[in-house]
Amino acid sequence: MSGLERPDLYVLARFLDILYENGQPMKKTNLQMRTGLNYVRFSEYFDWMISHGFVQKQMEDGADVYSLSQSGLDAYHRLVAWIRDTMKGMRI
Amino acid sequence: MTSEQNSEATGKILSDMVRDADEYYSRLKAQHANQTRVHVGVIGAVVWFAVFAALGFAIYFNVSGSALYTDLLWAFLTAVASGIITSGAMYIASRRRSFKFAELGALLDRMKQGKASSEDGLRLMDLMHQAALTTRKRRLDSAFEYGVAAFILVSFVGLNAGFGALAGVMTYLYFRFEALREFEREDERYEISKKDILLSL
Repeated sequence: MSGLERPDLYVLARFLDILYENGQPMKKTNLQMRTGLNYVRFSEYFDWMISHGFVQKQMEDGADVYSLSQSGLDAYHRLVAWIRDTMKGMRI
Repeated sequence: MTSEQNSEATGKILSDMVRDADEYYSRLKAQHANQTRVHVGVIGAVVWFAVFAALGFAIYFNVSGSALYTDLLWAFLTAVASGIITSGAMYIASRRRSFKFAELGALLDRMKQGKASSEDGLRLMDLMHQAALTTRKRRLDSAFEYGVAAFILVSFVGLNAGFGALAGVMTYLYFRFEALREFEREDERYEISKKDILLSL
């Protein structure tokens, strides 16, 4: 169960970016290294992503690998679209 | 829309985002330059007014006859010169100070060189929001400047410093109120929108 009450949007975006850009399923350790988070923090976010169905687990050569699920992809597209819309509404 | 089309659209959105942010940054720089000019102009006008008022009163009560007009003309020219020198010095000083939104420019340069990510997009959006808020905050300074300008204008046209002061205070309070209201509204809207996207994910 995820211990995150209110996850940081930046960190979620980083997870989504890495998994999206990588395209292929990746190992948990590899993902942790790319996010640059310590293990405890990484686990919290990773569990949060799993519990929200954004990340799916697969087996590859007997090892667990992870990739973005369809709802993870949708979340990524939604996030990007939201950033764009918010930026468009900004006035100086 | 298929997943591939979605990916293409997202890639395009990210690059459009950088382009829009670049335009925003250019507008920000132009606005900053304009505000500096206005600020410098108002300060120059205040200095001119203060010098002319001080010299003018001194001359008016101490000089009589035809020398009065010559001395008043000199007082006027001295005040103009003081205003110009002060404005010039302020303009140079403000140009030397580093641009407040340089961080936004640096991030944009970085994003233009590499592939844009949503995390960079978020960072960019936050910096743009901060810039927008700083611009709103700056309107509080402008409110004071508008107040001073109203004071000078009404004092001269109405030949009454009391009316001038009243007009100045009212102008200041109005613009300050508007600037604060807009500032708070915008910040609140932004925070709510961030919470909403988090909940919708």
